[in-house]
Amino acid sequence: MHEMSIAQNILEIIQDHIHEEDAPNVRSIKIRIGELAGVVHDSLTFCFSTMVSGTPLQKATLDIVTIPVTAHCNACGKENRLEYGVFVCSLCNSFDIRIMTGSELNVVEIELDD
Amino acid sequence: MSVITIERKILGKNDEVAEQNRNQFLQHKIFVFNLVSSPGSGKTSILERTLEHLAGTINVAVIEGDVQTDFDAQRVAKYNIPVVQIVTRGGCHLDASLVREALQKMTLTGFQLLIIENVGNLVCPANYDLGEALKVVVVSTTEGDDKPLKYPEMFRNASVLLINKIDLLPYVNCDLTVLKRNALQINSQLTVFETSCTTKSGIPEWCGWIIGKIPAK
Repeated sequence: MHEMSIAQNILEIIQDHIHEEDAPNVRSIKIRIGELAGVVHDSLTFCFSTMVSGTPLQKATLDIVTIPVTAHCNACGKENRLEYGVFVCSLCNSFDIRIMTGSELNVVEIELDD
Repeated sequence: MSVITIERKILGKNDEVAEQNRNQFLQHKIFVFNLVSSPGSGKTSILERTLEHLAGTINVAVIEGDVQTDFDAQRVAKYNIPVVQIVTRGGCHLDASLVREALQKMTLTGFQLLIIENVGNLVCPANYDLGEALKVVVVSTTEGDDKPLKYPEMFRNASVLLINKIDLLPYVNCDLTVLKRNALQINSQLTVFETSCTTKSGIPEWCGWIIGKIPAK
């Protein structure tokens, strides 16, 4: 259940970036979560909504973009998408791969109603 | 409608504090590893056998993380080494700030090794850098040989795998070859040791590896 602590961190980032009086206007927060980040989306959404409930940010929702796991294969030189939990080049079956994406855990942008 | 672009790591604050911890460790030339596993794999038992084996060779300090109780710190303190217990009171992982607080209660001067025993959990601790040099993951034979496939992030993020309770192999449904294959499929760079805290098999090899990691003063 580290989703609660992740929700808390998202909240702090929002507070760092908006003026207090703008809080009621925050409509959504776009966040990017890699498949390897180990975050349960429903759980994070639930934790976040619980946290903002009854606060000036209560209208704010999370807009989660999932980032697939991709890797560069050092054997065949190609980039390819990996199946979750399988760290093998999907093109040539080599284990000699470098993960390119999939570990992201970022706040991308905040959308406000004017 | 207006949009504020941010592009910030959600755990950026943790990463910043972890970097500060790491700098502190580098300054003191102390090797630090983060010991992770599910509850009951034998982290504390491995710690005890390790402390016994390393006694008189290098100076070791320990940070213990648990959800509740200081039982582990009591076990470790018997070896007459400095130990700080972090009680997370429900928190499922240690984070860099908790480790920083613990560091304020201890001195690193004169120590060559700091072992941080994380909360027993194969999911959440994978996300939180504490400032350690590397992660050591423990899996025991009683947990079955499919553990690495079920918790790929942790095995991917670790540098060392300790397969513990190796003495119980004849009694449990665990194929050592399959377990290793599963782990190496997730992370082919893993250094693997097979250990038993009862027979002490594998402990000298594991401790030899630790000694090899201690920075020269």
